[in-house]
Formats: sequence, C-alpha cells, structure tokens
Amino acid sequence: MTLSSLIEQCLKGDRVSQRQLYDNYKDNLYTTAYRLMSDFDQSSDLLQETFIEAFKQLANLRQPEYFHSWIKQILVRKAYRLLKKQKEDISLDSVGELSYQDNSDIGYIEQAIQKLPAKSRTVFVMTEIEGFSHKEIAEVMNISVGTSKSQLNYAKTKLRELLKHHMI
Amino acid sequence: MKNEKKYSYEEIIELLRNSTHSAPPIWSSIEAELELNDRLDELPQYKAPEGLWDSIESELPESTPSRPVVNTKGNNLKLLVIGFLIGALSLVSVQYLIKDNTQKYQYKSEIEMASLVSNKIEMDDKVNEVLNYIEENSFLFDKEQLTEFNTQLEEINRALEQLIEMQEKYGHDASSNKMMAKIERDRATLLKSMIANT
Repeated sequence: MTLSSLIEQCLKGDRVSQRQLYDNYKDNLYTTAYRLMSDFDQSSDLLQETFIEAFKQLANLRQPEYFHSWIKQILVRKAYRLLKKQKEDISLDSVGELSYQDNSDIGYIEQAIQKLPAKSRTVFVMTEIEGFSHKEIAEVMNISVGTSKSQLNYAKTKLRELLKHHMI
Repeated sequence: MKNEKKYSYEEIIELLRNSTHSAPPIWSSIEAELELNDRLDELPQYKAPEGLWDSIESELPESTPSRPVVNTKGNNLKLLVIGFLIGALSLVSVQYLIKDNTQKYQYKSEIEMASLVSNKIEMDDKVNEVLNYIEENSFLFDKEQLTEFNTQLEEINRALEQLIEMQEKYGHDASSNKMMAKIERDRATLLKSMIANT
C-alpha cells in the first residue's frame, strides 16, 4: 500500500492502517525522541503523545509524502516544550546524571549528546542527524535562524571536546 | 568506547543516522486513546438554554472602565516598541516626501544596517554562549533568580523579535537602529548581572 493510500485509510479511522502507519515510523521517531529527551520513559510518553496528535491532525497534512517530516516536527515541538519546562524544575541532584549507561560506541556518543544543553542538543539532533534546515527548526523552536546556527556551532564544539579522545 | 576506535565527525554523524532504538510496545495505549477520542467525538452537542445570559449578567458586578496596564519593565519595553512603531510609520511616509535627500539617506542607512547586522550576529553568538553556560551551571543560581531571569530575557527577546519584524516590513532607519541598540544593551546588562551573581 502506498503512503497516500495508507493515510487515506487512517483518515477513515481504519485501525489496522493506523497501526501500520505507527509500526512504519515508531522506531525512527522513538530514537529521535530519546536523543532529545535523554530518557527512555519520557521518550515513550513523547512517542505516544506525538502519534495521538498526528492522528488528530492528519486531515491537515496536505502532502502525504511529507508525513515523516511533518510528524517529526510535532515530536520536536512537544519535546522542546517539555525540555524548556524541565529546565525550570532542574535540581542540583540531577545535574550530570545520565539515565542510561551503554558501553557500545553509539551509546557513548549518545551519552555525549545528552550532556549538551537542551537547546543546542535539539538543534544538533534535528539538523545534523534528522536533516532539518535551520529555517525549519527555527520555526518549530520559535528561535531565529541565526540562533539555530550558533547553537549548532556550539554543539559541534562541545561534542568535539567531549569526544576528543575518540575522534580523528 | 570499544576498541579505542577513532571516528571522524562525519563518521559519527553517519553512525547516529544509521542506528535506531526499538520503540517499546505502546500501541495498545495509543489505541485506547484513539478509541476514547472517537467516543468523545460522538458525544452530542447541546444548545445552551435561551435567556441564560440574562441570568448570568444579572449576577455580574457592574462593569467598570478598564484599568491602565501595570507598569512593569516588560510593559515599558512594549510601550517603547509601540511608540517607536508609530514614530517609524510617520518617518516612512516623510521619507517618500523628501525626494532630494532620499538617496543620501538610504546610502548612509545601508552602511549602518550592514554594520548593525554583523554586530547583531556577533552579539547573538555571545548571548548563546552565556545562555548555554547558565543552563549547564544552573545549580549555581537561585531558583527564583533563574525564573526571574528567564522571564525578563523572554520579554526582551519578544521586543527584539517585534522590532526585527517591523524592520523587515518597513526597512531600517536611525531610530529603529537606536532602538535595536538599546534592546541589545538591556539584554547584555541582564546577562552580565546574571553572571556577576555566580
């Protein structure tokens, strides 16, 4: 079934098609959620909220072929809102803690990403890994393109510092 | 990392792009919520009874004229921007009337604008450095202080965004550039005071 037909069926409320759409994108979105939130439980909640909102707003998606980037924008918006709120609640105890220890190379790299401040982490993940443009991410995060670019520069500098013993 | 393998930056990005985490089995929760939403959509809509507003209005206190806005720093900034907008609009219309001096004015304005844009980019970079420092070291700050700081910074950023929008619509001139410089100075003062408190 093409993506257009699948979305058409989802709009009719067909649960099997909705499940199919969810299965097609869940891992990719969950991975993005984890890289933004640095916490598996929060990522799970975020994934759930994202899909529920996506199904509610699906009729507003004008071009089905852009579904992936469209749902990702929903996810980033929600994640960033949560991260901003968490910043206000951050306590001395939680600074520097990591929610997950993984000795694989990718795990190590992800831990380094988790050490970035929320704003630069979001810009880094969405531009460098997910391929969003600075204009797109600036709109989603309600920041200027200039700020997005400078946040990315900061993230790259910080990551090079954190991974200096493992980078060429 | 395993085996002490070294990666280039591009290899790290490639590694991240090609790896995924498996999502936990949450479809049943999503389905339950979709079912609930479907049921909620089917709930009937009822019309409010006629004459209800009259009963509500009779219970309301007598309407009073609106009070003036409370004078806070944020509102001062808003008033400044609004005042400036009115002034700038008048300036734009006057510019069209002054034909002889238009070219010279525009040339001078373009030089000012170019230098302001480049200063602004540098300023934004510096601001982001400081904001990131504050975020990474938030444990050094009092919680109330941090909340107050974030509120003030948001107000300044909003005023800045409104000014930029206005400049994009109507162009740059001496007074909008002055306003921009003032807002940037306010922002810098706020950030300096925050760092000075560590």
